[in-house]
Amino acid sequence: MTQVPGPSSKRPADSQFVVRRVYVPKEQSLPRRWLSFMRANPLFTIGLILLTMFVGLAAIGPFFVGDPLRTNISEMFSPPSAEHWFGTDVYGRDIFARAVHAARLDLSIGLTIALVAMVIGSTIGVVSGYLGGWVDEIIMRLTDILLAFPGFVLALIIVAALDESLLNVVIAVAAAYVPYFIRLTRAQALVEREQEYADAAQLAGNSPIRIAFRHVMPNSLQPALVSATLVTGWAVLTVAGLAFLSVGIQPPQAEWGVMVGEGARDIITGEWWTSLFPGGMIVLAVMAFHFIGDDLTEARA
Amino acid sequence: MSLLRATGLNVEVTGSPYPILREVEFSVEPGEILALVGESGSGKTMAALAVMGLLPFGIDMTAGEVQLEGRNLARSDGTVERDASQISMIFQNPVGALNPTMRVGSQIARAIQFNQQIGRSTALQTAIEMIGHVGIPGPERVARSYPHQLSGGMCQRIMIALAISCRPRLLIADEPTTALDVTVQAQIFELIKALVEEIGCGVVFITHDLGAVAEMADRVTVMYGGQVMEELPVVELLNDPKHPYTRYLLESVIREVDHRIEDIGVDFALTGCRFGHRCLLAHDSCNEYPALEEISPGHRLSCFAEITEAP
Amino acid sequence: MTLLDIQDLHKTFGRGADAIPAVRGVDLQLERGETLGLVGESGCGKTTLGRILVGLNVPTSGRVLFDGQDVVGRLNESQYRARVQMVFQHPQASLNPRFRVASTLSEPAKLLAANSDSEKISEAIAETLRLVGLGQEYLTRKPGQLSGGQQQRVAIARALMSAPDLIVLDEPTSSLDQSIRSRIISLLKDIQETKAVAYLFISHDLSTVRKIAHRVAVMYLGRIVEVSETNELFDDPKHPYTKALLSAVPSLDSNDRSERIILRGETPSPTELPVGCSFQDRCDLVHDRCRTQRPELAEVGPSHQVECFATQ
Repeated sequence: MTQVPGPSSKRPADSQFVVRRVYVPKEQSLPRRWLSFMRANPLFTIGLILLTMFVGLAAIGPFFVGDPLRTNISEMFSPPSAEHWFGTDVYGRDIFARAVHAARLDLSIGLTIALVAMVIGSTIGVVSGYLGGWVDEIIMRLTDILLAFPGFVLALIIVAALDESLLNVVIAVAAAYVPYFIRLTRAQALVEREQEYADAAQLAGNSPIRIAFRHVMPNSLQPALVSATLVTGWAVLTVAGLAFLSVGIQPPQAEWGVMVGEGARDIITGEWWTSLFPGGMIVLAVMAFHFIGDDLTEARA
Repeated sequence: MSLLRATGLNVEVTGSPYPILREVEFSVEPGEILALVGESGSGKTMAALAVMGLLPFGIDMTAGEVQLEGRNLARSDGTVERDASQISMIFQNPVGALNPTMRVGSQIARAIQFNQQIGRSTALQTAIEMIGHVGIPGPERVARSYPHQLSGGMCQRIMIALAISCRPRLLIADEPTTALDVTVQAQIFELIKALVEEIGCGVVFITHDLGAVAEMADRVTVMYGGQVMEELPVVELLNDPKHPYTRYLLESVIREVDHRIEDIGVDFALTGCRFGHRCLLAHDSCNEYPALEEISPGHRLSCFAEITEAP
Repeated sequence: MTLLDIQDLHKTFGRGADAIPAVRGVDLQLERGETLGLVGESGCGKTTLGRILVGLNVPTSGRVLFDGQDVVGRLNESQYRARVQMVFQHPQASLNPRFRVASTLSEPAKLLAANSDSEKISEAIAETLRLVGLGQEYLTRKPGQLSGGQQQRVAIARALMSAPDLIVLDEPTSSLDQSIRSRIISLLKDIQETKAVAYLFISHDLSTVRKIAHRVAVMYLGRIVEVSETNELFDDPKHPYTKALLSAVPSLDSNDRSERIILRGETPSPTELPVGCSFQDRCDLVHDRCRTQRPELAEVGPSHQVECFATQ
């Protein structure tokens, strides 16, 4: 042991103590880390792969496939072949082309709906949670009333009340999911408003409105952001479901639900490909959003 | 033979390159109270969990021996055999550590039945006796209560009753009074000391409060950053500790000596002494890991500097 | 003029059968530049009292005179808001996790200061940061990147930004490591010397309070049971509860093995208070009068008041 001279609180002036650190990462190449992540989270990985496929399809697919509206009666009801990957429908339209264009439509509508619902719902939820009192009571009872309807039915009612346009479909379905976001953000806002930083914000001179939007709201959005993926999936399903019933988006528009609606009756006569492919794409797309959203929700918890 | 001997404990987070506990060792004799002292992040709770075999998922003991009365509890797969009949533990948050859905009397009775072959009503009777034994008035009524109906101090007594109901050889108390008022703390201290006298068990008393150490402990192990800095009798701790960190701790608490040591966090990646990057006496030797060496009977030190002056 | 004069303050939460009286008639004074320690155990009402003083809770009755003006219900007005500030118990929770230090500190400056010249504000922020012992590099950090001690320094800086006359500190060092506590206490004392700000230092930790307070008030079940100059309280406590509280504090002096007073029982629930002195069931000096009448604060020495029949 070395002798250190001087009083206990002074380091010898000439000592140059250089702290040595050893960073020993158990070196794993990037691909190997990805592999272990994928093995640990199989569903999330599947969801991610599917989603990437769909996004790619929606983004660049329409440039490469044919016209979704071009009819060719001579080729009607051709089964899947090298020329028409998904076959053709009753009007001779290429189903693959239609499906790809539908991907772009459905995904962008779904995303838009989720974002609109999230923005509106979160704002109302934070205001309700932060203010409390009778404002909260009224908003909660209205939310309860809306939540009593299944989302699909609510959207159906609203579209039926308005006239049928793409914009109104977005409005209707978004409205069906707004209550969900209200609940989610209100719950978090209730927690956040009790935190000491909310009190401190009041002492710093913030008015209640400033506290609600500058302090409480940003910290209350986490659960909503995470749920946005799930809601996108549900939105796609709802829009497709409405279109299947010829509500909202109508034929000849290339949309998955429309295609399933048109193709459903063909099954009896043996033309299975007109409804299976678009239907399958709906299933895969919604599944993808679900797998991702579920894992994100669990990770957050 | 010591009641408990833990040596060479190394604990790591799975997949992480550096250990959160490094070469930790301590020992307890029967009837003795050993204080495990450290600030937050010192690893004192981790050390106790390692000894109990209660390390959480994702944290493993990669090396070390745990011996209870000479019998080795540590297994080759890095786990520790949990000897429920010999070692008991009480925790920091008394209300939270009890099962909220069971009456407290039943919880104690269950624990008794786990270790002895007796019937339910006998166990319940014994449980009621234990509750009275730890100084709770009206034990029959309290035995029928749920944890949330009792105060923090009472719940801690219940936990102690639970812990001693099997007459353990060793009691591990992890910050048992941190969440309690100081007057209640005094009551709990008296209780633990009385029980040690009566049962003759050893106690590992984990705390960050030097006052509690002065009250309760016979010997003290001081930890910082997952490393044992010093191990010494409590009288020597209060009068003349030899480790720079111990002295720093003592002087900050007793006097307002501002050593101008930065309050930065623990750096687990250091090769040498974990206090090195904050120590005012650090020099180049400190990049090597200082092993625990005995400098006087019952006093072990992990440090390359030698402090010659009294504080 | 006395900076703070609390008169017969009451605060009851809830109504009817579920009412919980947290503060039951408190009288207290605080002078400019003075530190008053407020000690007591959990449930005594000290935190509630502190919150009322900064306007986070409104009292049920009583007056709070700030420089002679009754400010009950008016603390959110701009003229008062700047003058009374608070430092909270959990530094991590009291800082908005998404705000950088610069934003946290600029808010009170922008919202409460008389002039909002952005250059002056930057200067004020820089100066306050220096005052609490943090370098300018901390301005861009978020709370998650700071240690507990550093977070609390930022919280103290924030409280200082509006140049307050009074800062209420609610257990400011209780969640910090022991070695950090003394540094924060020294810091607070230095600031008091520089800025002549008064502190109401709320704590259950008597040893910490002793280091910083000029006077100490002891609270039990919503009432002040003893108030005195610091050294006198610790050397010569008069109320039985104060004596027990002091004796319960573990002593680091290995030679100090004086008789410990262990209190019987536990603090009664505020909803089930007995008639007369609320300490009667735990007190060794209890006699008949204590069970029928409630004692009031009375002088037992120069600036030393006690609420107990045994001392009167």
